Amino acid sequence: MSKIKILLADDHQIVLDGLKSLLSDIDDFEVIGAVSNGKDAVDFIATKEKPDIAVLDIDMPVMNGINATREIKKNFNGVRVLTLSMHNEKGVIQTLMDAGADGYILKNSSREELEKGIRAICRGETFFSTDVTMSLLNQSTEITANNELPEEVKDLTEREVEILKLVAEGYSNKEIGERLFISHRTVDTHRTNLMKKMDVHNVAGLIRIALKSGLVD
Amino acid sequence: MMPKALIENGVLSAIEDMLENTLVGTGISYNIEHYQLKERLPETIELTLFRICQELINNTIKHAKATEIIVQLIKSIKNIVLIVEDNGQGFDQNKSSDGIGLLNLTSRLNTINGEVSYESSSNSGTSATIRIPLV
Repeated sequence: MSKIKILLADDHQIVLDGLKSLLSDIDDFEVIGAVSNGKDAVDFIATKEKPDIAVLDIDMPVMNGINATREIKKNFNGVRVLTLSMHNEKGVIQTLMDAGADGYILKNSSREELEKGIRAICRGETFFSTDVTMSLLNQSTEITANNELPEEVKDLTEREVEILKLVAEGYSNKEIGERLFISHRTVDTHRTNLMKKMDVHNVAGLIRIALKSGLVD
Repeated sequence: MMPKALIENGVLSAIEDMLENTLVGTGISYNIEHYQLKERLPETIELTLFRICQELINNTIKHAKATEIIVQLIKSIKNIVLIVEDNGQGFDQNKSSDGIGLLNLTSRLNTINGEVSYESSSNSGTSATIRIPLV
C-alpha cells in the first residue's frame, strides 16, 4: 500500500514540528515537506514533490492559507487541501470553501480527528470539524420589503404609521416627540398601541413589520 | 484589535460569529435579522457597531437573566440602525446609572455622531437602539 504524502505549512515552528512528529507516527502517512508559509508551500509543490494532501495553517505571513489554497487548487490538479486554524468563524470558513479547500479542522481538535480528516479527504470526501459544521448551519435572516402593505398596517392611523417608520429608523421616543411636536409620553402610548394592534411583544417585532411593509427607505 | 471576521467579511458576519461563540453554553438563544445590508460599511462604523454589540451582549449575559436575544441590523438611506433586544428582567431607567461599559460605548458613538437609547421595563426585557447617521 502506498503512503499518503503530506505537505505541512505553518509559521509557528513548534506547531510545525509537533504536527510533523504526530503525523509521522502514523504508519501509512509520510510527511514529505514542512514549510513556514503559503508561498513556500506552493513553491515546494511546483519544484520538489507533489503531495497527496497539503495541510495548511490559515494565518501565515507572505501568503496566507486562503490564497495558498486558491493557488494550489488552480495549478496542481489532484492535490487536496486541508486547512487548519483556530478561527471558528463562518465568514472565514465560507471563504475557504469558496477557495476550494477540501476540509477545515480547528486547532483544538484531537489527533484522531486530524487523522480522520486526512483520510477522509484522501478518499475524495470533504471533512469539516463538528463545531465548524454547527456554525455553518446558523444563518442570519434577511428581511425584505413586500410591495403590498400587510393587513395589520392598513388598520393603523396616519400618525401611527409615521411613528412606526421613525421607530424603525432608530429614533428614540424623545427624538420622535421632538420631530412631531408631541410629548415623548404620547409617543410611548402610540408605541404601546402599535404593539397591541399588531400583536407583537417586543421592539424587534415592531421593526420587522415596518421593514416588511416597506416603510423604511 | 479588529477581529478577523470583521476585516474579511464585514460586520454582520462578525456579529454572528461573536453571538455564536459568546452565547454557547449560556442557555441564551439568538436570532439575527438584517435589512438592506448588501454592501460593506465604512470601517469605523463597522468597528463601532461590533464593539457596541459585544458590550450589549455582555450586559445581557451578566445582568438580564434572559433566554433570548434578537439583533437587528438595518440600513436605510439616512441611517444605520442596530437593535439589541432581550427578554430578560429589564432595568429601571430612573434608578440605574451608566456603568463604564455603557459610558465607553457612548463615547465611541459620539465620535461618529451616533445615538443610543434604551427601552426597558421590569417585565419586558431591554432593548437598546443605536442609530448612526450615514453622511
